[in-house]
This record gives sequence, structure tokens and C-alpha cells, in this order.
Amino acid sequence: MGHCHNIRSALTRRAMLGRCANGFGAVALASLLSDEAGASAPGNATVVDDPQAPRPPHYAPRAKNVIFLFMDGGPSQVDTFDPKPRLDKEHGQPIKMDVPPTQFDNVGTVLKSPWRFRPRGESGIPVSDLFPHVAECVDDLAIIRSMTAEFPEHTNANYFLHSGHGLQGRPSMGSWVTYGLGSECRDLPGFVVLDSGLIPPGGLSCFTNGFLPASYQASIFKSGQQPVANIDNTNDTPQVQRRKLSLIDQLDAAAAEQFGSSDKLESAIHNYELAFRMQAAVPDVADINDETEATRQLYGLDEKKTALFGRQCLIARRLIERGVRFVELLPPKVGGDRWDQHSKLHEGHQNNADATDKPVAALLRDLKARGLLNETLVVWGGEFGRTPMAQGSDGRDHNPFGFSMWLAGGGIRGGTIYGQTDDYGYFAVENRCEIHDLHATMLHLLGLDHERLTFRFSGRDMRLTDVKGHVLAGILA
Amino acid sequence: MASRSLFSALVVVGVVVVGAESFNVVRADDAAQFDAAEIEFFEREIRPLLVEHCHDCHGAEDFEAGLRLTDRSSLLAGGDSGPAIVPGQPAESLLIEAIRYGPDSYQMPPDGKLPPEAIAALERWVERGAAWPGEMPASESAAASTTETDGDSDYWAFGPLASIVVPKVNDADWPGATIDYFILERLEAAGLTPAAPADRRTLIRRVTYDLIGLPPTPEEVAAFIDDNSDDAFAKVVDRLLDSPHYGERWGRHWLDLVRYAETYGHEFDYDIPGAFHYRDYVIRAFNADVPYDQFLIEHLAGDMLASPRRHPEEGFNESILATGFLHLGEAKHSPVDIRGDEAERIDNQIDVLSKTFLGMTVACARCHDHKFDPISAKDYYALAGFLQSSRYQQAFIDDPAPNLAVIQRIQQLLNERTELTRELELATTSSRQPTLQAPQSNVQSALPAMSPEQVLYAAFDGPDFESWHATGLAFGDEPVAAWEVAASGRALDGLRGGAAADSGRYAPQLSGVLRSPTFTVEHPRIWYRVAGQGTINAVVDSHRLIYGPLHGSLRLAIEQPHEFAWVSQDVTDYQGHKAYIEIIDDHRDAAILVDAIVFGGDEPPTEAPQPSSNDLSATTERDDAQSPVHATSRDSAILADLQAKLDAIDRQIETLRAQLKPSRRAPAMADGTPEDEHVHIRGSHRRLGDVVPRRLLTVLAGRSQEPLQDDCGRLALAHRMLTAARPLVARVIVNRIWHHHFGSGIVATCDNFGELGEPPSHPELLDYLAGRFIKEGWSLKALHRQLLISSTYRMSSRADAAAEQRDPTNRLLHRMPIRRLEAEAIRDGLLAVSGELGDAMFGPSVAPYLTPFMSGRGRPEKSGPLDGDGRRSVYISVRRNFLTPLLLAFDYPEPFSTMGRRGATNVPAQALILLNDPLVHALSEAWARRIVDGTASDTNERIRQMYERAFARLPTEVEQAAAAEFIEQRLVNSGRDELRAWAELCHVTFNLKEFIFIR
Repeated sequence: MGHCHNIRSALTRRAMLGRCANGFGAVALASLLSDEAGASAPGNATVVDDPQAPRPPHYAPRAKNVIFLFMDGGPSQVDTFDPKPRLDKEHGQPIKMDVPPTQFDNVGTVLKSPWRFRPRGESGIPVSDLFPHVAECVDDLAIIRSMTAEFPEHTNANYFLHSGHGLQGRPSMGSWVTYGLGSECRDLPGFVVLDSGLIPPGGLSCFTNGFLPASYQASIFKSGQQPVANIDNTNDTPQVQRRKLSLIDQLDAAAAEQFGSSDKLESAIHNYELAFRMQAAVPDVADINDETEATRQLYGLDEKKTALFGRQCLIARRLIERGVRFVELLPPKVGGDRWDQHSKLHEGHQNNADATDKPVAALLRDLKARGLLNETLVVWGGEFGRTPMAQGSDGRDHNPFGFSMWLAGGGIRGGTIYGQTDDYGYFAVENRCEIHDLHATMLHLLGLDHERLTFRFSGRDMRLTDVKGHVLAGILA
Repeated sequence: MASRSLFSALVVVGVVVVGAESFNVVRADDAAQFDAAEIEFFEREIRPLLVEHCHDCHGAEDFEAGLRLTDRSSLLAGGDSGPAIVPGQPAESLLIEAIRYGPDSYQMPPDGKLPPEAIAALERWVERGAAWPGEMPASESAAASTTETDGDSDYWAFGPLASIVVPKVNDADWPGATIDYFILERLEAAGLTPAAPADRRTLIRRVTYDLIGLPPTPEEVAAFIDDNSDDAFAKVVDRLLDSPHYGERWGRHWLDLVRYAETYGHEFDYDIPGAFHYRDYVIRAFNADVPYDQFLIEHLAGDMLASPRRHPEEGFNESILATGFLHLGEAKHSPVDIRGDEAERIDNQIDVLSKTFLGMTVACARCHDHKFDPISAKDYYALAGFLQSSRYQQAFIDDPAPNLAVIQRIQQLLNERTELTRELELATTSSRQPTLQAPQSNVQSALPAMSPEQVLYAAFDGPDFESWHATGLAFGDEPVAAWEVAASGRALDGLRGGAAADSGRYAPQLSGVLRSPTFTVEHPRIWYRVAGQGTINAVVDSHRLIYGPLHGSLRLAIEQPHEFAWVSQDVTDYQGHKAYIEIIDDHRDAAILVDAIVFGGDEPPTEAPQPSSNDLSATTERDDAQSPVHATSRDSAILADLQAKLDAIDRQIETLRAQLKPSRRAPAMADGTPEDEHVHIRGSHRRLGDVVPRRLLTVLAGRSQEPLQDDCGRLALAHRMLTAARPLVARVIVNRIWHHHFGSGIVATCDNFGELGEPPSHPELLDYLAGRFIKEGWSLKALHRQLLISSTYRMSSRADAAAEQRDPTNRLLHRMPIRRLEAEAIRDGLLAVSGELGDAMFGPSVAPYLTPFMSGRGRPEKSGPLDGDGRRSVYISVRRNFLTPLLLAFDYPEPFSTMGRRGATNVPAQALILLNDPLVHALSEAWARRIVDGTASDTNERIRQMYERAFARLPTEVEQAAAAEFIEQRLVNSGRDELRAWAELCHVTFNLKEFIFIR
């Protein structure tokens, strides 16, 4: 992996900028309040005393918020958005190309898709019958058929998709975005991950703030009654807690009186205020009783298969409405596995699609109806795709060489197909996209220049896109 | 390749007009070859392709991978991977390979394959000699070069320690220790005065948390306040440095540097067996004040020391435990690219090693020469060679001496047994030749007959293991002759006439591992002739985390207790990779024997015909031989006597065997086969550059370092670091200690002393401390002492508005900083104040308490206890994928790389945890129970005791009154539930900012 081979220019300028960013004066003083490690702030932000405070982007944004529908496990491109007639023709025959090493090394014959593709919407873009509802929204989607990943193993690929790096410890994209822009919401965290029962391989580190200040770490919302850890004040009644908080205030003030205050102490005190507000705001966002019957039906809340993910998609909309910057949804536990069908492709993919298709389409429609879609970037995809030949007889192995993702919403040119794979749907051959390109594009739409959104760590100005990344102009409106 | 001398031969052959980029000069040698049609083809078909698809990345200014596609000579010179084209031979040309998009080659252009007609055109162009119109040769070689440096002592961090004169100050009364002169001089120069001294209560809380990570007890506070002697504070410091809790506190700081964890992370978060031994080693080493130079040597080469440091009471090998840190990184099971995975692991080892000990970011040079520091890619791969030449082992750490004494006696008895068996056999079969022969039995004839494609790799019939290496005691130091195996009385069929590696030679109880040298896999299969029970690993590219789906063939479970047989291992996929063989006996009651290893062949070697001397009959007929039934009556008395002696010996052997104790095991380094590593061009193991000899960074130790041949060289590396890099090593560690006492290092970027780090705020002070540290025998405790007894450390933290203006970041240390406690100190403080902290030290970690929010693959089946059994946080298991949320919220680092400077953030999750976490409530209640059950019954007295316990101070009247009012009100509202009311006040106390900050 080439880390930094683009940085060829002006050593002295870089060294000097490094010094300034890490150095002295007001910026450093202010940053002490949020974190001891110096931050090279995005935009012109010197406002660091509230790390969640909204900050201006580098340039005019096309979208304000992001919803990332993470399809953990790796949905198959040739069964969803990338039809390959050659698979039908050669079904059951050995594949006629050199096959790179695969995760399970159990290479079967060419496997045609069990689902039929048909042209949908005004754009006529083909979508398989796996996604009848999303297919109806195809005119809002820009489908990238030429995604590539660097790793064929889940964990590394998950880290790579989330952080632009294959190993544990780099900040997740949601952390980068909230670091760059703060959040419009004063009562909720800026980066929320909605967990529906399946934490991806690599664990919660997929959503880590890494070396960024902990303020930017993801808050995991579970689907149950208590969505956030420690949000529920089970030990005290609200009256008792208020009484306690008032005594805490009183005693903290008395100590400050004696020993002098400091900014650190002040901001720790402010923290309690946000925590207290969150105690009310989180249950409020999770309480969907105020939604209409039409909305309930749209998301499929009363249908067994869609109830879980439908609720999460609805919560995602509610979070976005409240100004939360980055919402990531994890796929629901649907009995089998996530989108990782090494065998029984038909059954497994169908189960996953049944649970998510209608809710995802509902989310797109609902956002659109409320005028939120044009300021929200919706991204759908997994960490890699799947092989066009079978693994064993009826599964598909991991394929990082060419797969599909789609984007919709703010700044996206709907009804677009971008890039293509070879006749088998194995390798991206046209407009090949890296994850870094996806990240660069997402940041771009949010008004952030991926080369300027940096944080000094370990002697380098770190970026989500490492030293790579090109904005994918072809999918922009 | 173009050379400047060719310019003299340039001739003008005419004007070729092809846009702004072309020149009307052509090199004579080429010009003569290309006819106009070829040139025209180039201009029409080829140049537009290059400009459109290639020049963005391989242009004149900006050329990736060292490759320019702007002129013919640059294509011929090529880039990192060699020439881009071979004129006339498209099949040999990398450029063509790349545009064809082969799966194992570059796939260029990266954003999509060229249309077939473009590929065909480029193929044709190369085929016909790659015509190119006139050009100027590239002004310099485009080939990747890696720069090497010969020591750069100009840069402050690498240079020798300056000889320091203690500065003069105006206020000669203020300094209490030498360091104070350095601090005061700068303050005076800036027109600042140091803050007033802190009061004793503040001071003892500060120093107690600093040194042992716990609050002082009210008794300790009182003792300090009542001590009127001049050295009262020095006594406190000494008491704390002598406390066993010191190692727990400072050991944990060290664990941050080596990304300590007890699982491998990745998908299933598998355990790192015995990782806690490393943690315990660190705690003991800090408590014992092991000199830091020794500590460094142990970390790099503790397994290679002739006389390792041993635990004073228990005798186990301390030194070797230190090397375990290299194996505590993330690791992957089932990597598709097994060699690439090894490179990743080594990269992390280099990263951690170089940041921790040298404060340098060497890992930046993996792909190219470091942009800012004088570290070349060659330097990086020179270090990689040390790790490439080393191996992972689960070391046998216990003192072998007691077992060796028993083994010696067992061996004597076995020798006697052999004699007796021989006599017995002679007595029973007097007409036959003795079946038990001396070692000269015909070894050659006993070797298997191999097919032509087979190669004998090992036969274990020499006087020793040759280049194999045994650890543990089971295998002893040499193979065992077959006749001795037979005489040992074990029932084993198929033993050959020669000898075998035998882990049961002394006792089935003993464990051991036998490792081969590293070799390159050249055959698709490995055959082992093996008996017993155990495991055989072919360790390819140091990959050992074998859990499928891939690489399962590399681990063979051996399960044939009673007979030798051939078993095989499919290594087809690993041909060309480096590997070594591990024969492992980790069974408590079994042994493994191997008598031949053969490479290649689909069928096992055919067994040699049994030698006529039937020297195997002893085994097969052993039971008969021992049975007096077959003896003639003439000998029966003698036989009975012999048999009785034999039985007595067997009983003695069994008694002795029962005395053998299994050794504890811990992850550690082992010496491997010495190997120098290639430069991986642009960090890719698929593109190898020059071989670099193992050596320390040239900027530190120069280019002519003595070559290392005999072993992996880690011990030499450690000594080189302590000689050539001595000043840097000392500066880095001294700065780390300073950082933890004063909130910020003299070099604020503790892990980066390079160009991109921050320069030292007090360079003379740093050099003074480093010099003194070395002079005082690298003693960390001596260093603590001189920092802590200083007037600087004893200043108040109270801010003064004017001083804040002049020194807003407090870089000059005009006062002590206010610091938030680390995650562990907060949790340990909660336990200590509530009275729930136990004092158990060391041993296996306590499983983490699992909340419903900690889910995902590899989640432990059982949660640990909510209160972690009252153990300090350093003993809570560090599971990479299941870190404790309470600790994470307070900036506990994810263990991925060296973290010398933690964050100290301020997030709502912290408040939510202290307000609502069940542990905090449980501990509030535990504390309240102690208060309610305690001797004091007066509310005000109880509140005073609480403040003393939590904050080492007494409450003011205002605080006293507010708390008392709260209690009274809560008693009324809770129906005089005393426990509840006090638990609520305890909870409030835990939520005061003062609880998580030190002044």
C-alpha cells in the first residue's frame, strides 16, 4: 500500500505548516480544552471549546448530513445492480479467466443469478428482482458498478471501508465528518450508529474515533428500549437526579471558588448539561409513537420481515431531522447471516433483501417527501462484492475486485450508472473506483476537501483518504 | 539507458511536428532505426493514448512508482519494477502486462481497462521496436533511488548529549532541586515568577495519584501533615516508590507504548495465550527498578541472553518475557495474501519498537524514504530483517534446573534399564544375536526408499539436532537411537533402525518444541514419519493463527499413539514461500516421535526392507521378552531376579516422573534463521528491490555497521541502540517520565522526536536529565525522585491572570497544570474510595464486564464481574474488540500502536457513565454502607470523612452545609432510609469534577 507517495512537494512548506498546526498560540490553547493532542482544525475553525459545535465547511456543500446503509458481509453485485448475461450463458461451466486467490479457495463453476433483472424507472436502469422497492427509486440513485476494495477478508475490508485503512485504529468516516463539520444537533451525538443486532467483523473499532478526539466517536444506538448505554437513569427518579445535579453544581462551584477554575473544569461541568439533555433527547428520538399510520406502513413497521430495519430507517430519518451529522445503519439480524453467502446464496440474499428493501425505499421516499433528500447524502453498499463463479455449488466467495454501491440525495445525479465490470462482473474495468474515491466524493458533497481535512498524528497530517482519493465527478449533479 | 555522452552524437534529422511537447532532435542511434511510417503510427495511435491515460500519474513532473511515460529513454529505464518496455518483446514488457489487466500484475490505467484496439496498438508499437521521435533524454535517472545517510548529528535529537552547565538564576532561594534552575531561568527571562507552593493536601493527592494511581488514605494524609521534618515530602515520595502499586501505575503507562492487548483482534478476537505474563513482567520490572538499559535489552533480545535475569524467588526467566511485546499486535487468521500479512505484522512491530525506544516514526519509510526524517526505505527493511530472522514461541519460562535434576536421575535409571533389558534378552534368547544394538546399527539401510522427485529433509540420526532447535525439555538435546527408544519400554510399532526425535525420551509429562531452520518451500508436499501424539506445523511466512478457512493444511494433528506411519502435509499453495517446521509436544501424558521428513512425492517413500539383524524385534517382541513364561526353567530364577529389578526401576522412574513440573508458557521471541530482507518497492512484497543487511538506522549508527551473521542479530541491535543511539534512547525515556509528571513532555510529541515532532521546550534540561539518568545507572526511580522533590513539581496549579497571558500554554511551567486523571485511575479511585479495592496482584486477567452494547464476533461467552473482582484496572483483560466502555470513555487507548500521550477529552459519555453506570452506583452504595456502619454517626463528621477520603481535604463550611442539607432532605424524602441517602451523597461525590482531576 502506497502511503504517501503523492507528497513530493515542498518539504519546508510542509514542515512549517506542521509546526504551525501543532504549535503555539491561541489555537493550541483552545484545543487544550477538547483534547491534549493538538488538532489541525478543518476549515477556519478555531472554535474548539465545544467540539460538537457546527463548523463551516471548506466550500459550499451539496449535502449536510449522511446516512450510510452499511450492507455488512458484501452483497453480490451480479445479483443486484450489475446484470451479466454471460453468467446465464456459461452457467455450470468453469470460468474462463484467471481466478485470483479467494478467501475460501473453493472455486466452483460459473453461477447465474437466481434473480431476473429488468429495466426500471425512467432511466431504465436494470435492477434485479431482489430489490422491487428500491428499484422504484432507481431514478434517484447513482450506481457505481466499479467499486474496488483492497482486502478480501471481512475485518480488513470493513476497517478499510470505514477508515480508509485496513487495520484497527484509524478514525471512521463518521468521526472524520463530525470532526470536520461538528453537528447541528445540540442534544444528541453527531455520529450515531444504529445497531440492529449485527456488529460487523472488526467490531466496534469500525466506528472508532481513532486518534481523533473522543468527542467524535460513534454512539451506538441499539434497537431496543434503551438505545444508548447509560442513558437510562434507572437508579434515580428524575426528581432525585435533578436534586443530585443541583448539589453537584453547588459543590463544583464551591471547589472552583476555593482553588480557582480552569477551562478544563468548566468544560467538564458543561458536559453534564449535554449529558442531561441527552437523557431526554435520546428517548424522544427513539419514541416513534408520534409517527402517522401512513409512515408506519411505508416503512413496514407492522410486517414481521421489515419491522426491525424499518424502525431503524425511521429512526435514521428522525436523527437527521434533528440535525445529527452522520448516521450509519447496520443490517438487521434476519436469521441466517448478513450478506455473506458463501453458500445458499438464494436463500440468504433473499432474507436480507426482504428485511431491508422496503425500509430503504421508504427512507428515500420519506426523506424526499419532507424535502430532506436534497440535503442528505444516502450511501448504500458493503465492504466488497462476491465472485461470479460459485463457491462450492450455491454460494459466492468474497470479491474485492469489482462490486456495486449506490449513492442518492444531495448533490447526486440520479439515474446514473458509473463504471463497469468485465463480462463476468468480476473485475472493474472502466472508471475503477477505490474506497478512497468514495470517501473523497462524500466529503466533497459535504463541502470538505479531502486533502485539507487533516489531523496531525504520529508525525503526519492524517487524512481519511490517506494520500489518495479522487472526487467522482461522473456521479455528481 | 541514455547517457549524457550521447549528446555529442546528436544529429538533426528533420523537423517532426507533433504539438508542443515534441522536439526536433533525435538520438542518432534510434533515429537511424525508425522509419517515418513507424513514427507516424506512434504519433497517431500511441502518443494520444499515453497523454490521455498515463501522463496524469506518470508525467514529467509527477511520476508515480518512479515511472515516467514521457520519453523513450524513461520507458526503457522504467520505474520501481524495472523497465516498462522491452522493444520488440511485448510479452516481456511490464507496460503491456499492465494494460492487459492480468490479475497478478498492475492493472493500468487504474480507472479502467483500455479498449481492445488501444491495447492492440500498444502491443504492436512495442513489437515493432517502440519507435519514438526525437527527444531530450531525461535529465536524471528516473529509477527509484533510496537515499542513505551517514549519521546526521546536526539534528538535535540524534546528536550527543550536550555538556550542561546549570543555569544561573536571580531567585536563588526558590530552587529545591537542580531541575528548578532550568525552569526558573526561563521563567525569569520571560518575566514570570513561579506559582506559590501547593499546600500539603494538594501535594500528597497529586503525588500519590502520580506514582501509584490511587488516592492517598486519610492516614497517609495525616502522617504527612504531621511530619515537620525537612524531608517530609521526600519520605512520601520514597514510600510511594517502594509501594508495589507503583509498578501497576507505571507499568500501565508502559503498556500504552507497546499496544498491550491479550487478544489478536481482527474478526474473532482470538486469545494471545499467556499475554498477561508480559504485563506482570512490566509491573515487576518497574517495581524492581530494573535499569532501563537492561529493560531495553530484555525487550529486544531477552530470549538471547546467556544468563537471563530470573525472578528472585520463583526462579523463572524474566528476561525472555519482555520479548513478548513484539507479539501483542493485531493478527489475522486466514489471510488470502499470507506473505503480505506477514509484512503487515512486521510493520507494526517496527512501528512500535521504533516509536517506543527511539521516538522515531520509522514505519513511514516502509514505502519510500521518509519525507522529513533521514530514514530511508533501506533503513526500514534493515530493521525488518531482524524480525524476519526471528520467530514466535510460547516460551517455557520456568527455571529448568529442578526438572533437569530429575531428568538426570531418570536418564541414569533408563540407562540401567537398557542394560537390564539387554541382559534379560540375552538370558531368554541365548541362541540369537542381541536385538538391542549399539548406535552403529546400519542407519543407511534404514532410510526410506524415495522416488526421484523426493528429497530427504531430515532423518534425526546425527549426534545432535544439527540446525534444528529444541525448546522445553522433552526432546533433550539430541535425537534418540532407536534401540534406546525400544529399551525404554514403550509399545511402539514400526520404529526404524536409526534414530528419532523423541519428546518422550524422559517422560511423557514433559513438553517441548523442535523447530527446523527456515527453508523455501519447493515441493508440493511434506511427508513426516511420525508416531505418538502432538502437532506438526509448517509455519509459512510466520503465519500461525490457523483457524480456517485457508491454511488448515499447515497444521497437522498427530494422533497415532502406538505406531510409526507416514503422514503428509499439502503445501502446494506455498511453493516459493519461506517456512519452517515445528514439532510440538504439548500433551501432558503423551509424546511425539519423528524419524524422517521427506519433501515431495504423491506417495510416501517406500519402507526399506527390514534389516536382517531384526533390530526392531525388541519393540515387537518386548512383551514376550519381559514375560518369564517364555524363559526356560534353567534361567527362571535369574529371569525373575532381572524382572524384579526391571520392575523396581520402572517404579522409580514413575516416581521421578511424577516430580516433573510443567513449565508455564508465555509469548516470546525465538531466534530463527538469519535472513536479510529485500526492500519492498513502494511497500509491496511482490516487488522486491535490493537486499539490505540487518543494521540500525544509518542516521544513528552510520553505514558501516558490523555485519551480523550468526543469529537474528537482535541482541547486537539492542547493544547498538545503547551505544550509537544512547543519547536518543535516554532522551526519549526521560521525556516520557517528565510527560506523566508534568502533563506535557519537554518534547510534547513523546513518540516523535523527528522533524515533525515538536522541538524541546527546555533542550538543556532534557540533556541534563538524560545525562544524569545514564550516570545514575538508568534508574527510573532515581529520576522520579529528582523530578518530584523539585520546587517545580511542588508548585500550586492555581492560575494567575497575568502569568496566563505571558505563558498561555504553560510551556514554561509557571504553575503546575491541572490534569484529568486517566481512565484507570478514575476506576481504581472509585474502588479505593468506596473501600472495594482488593490488593491482589498479577496473574490471569479478569474477564471484562460485558454490557449489551458490547456485541460482535468473538464476544466472550461469559461476562466478567461488574466490579472486576475489585482488581485494579491494569488486571482487566484487554480484549481488542471488547474494550471496557467505562475506560474507553475516558480515553483509554485502542491498542494499535505506541501511545505515549493519551487524549484527555471531555465528552458526554463520561458524564453519563458517572451518573448512570451500574458500577458507579454499586460502589456508591458500598461506600455508603461503610459510612453507615462506621464509627461516626454525626452527619457533619461523616461528610468530613468523605471529603478526606475522596479529595484528601476537608470540606469548607459551605460544602459541609450543602451536603448536610442534602442528606437531611433525602432522609426525609426517603422515609429515613439512611443507606440510600448516604449512597446518593457518595454518588454525588463521585460526580464532582474534583474526583477526576488533580490539581
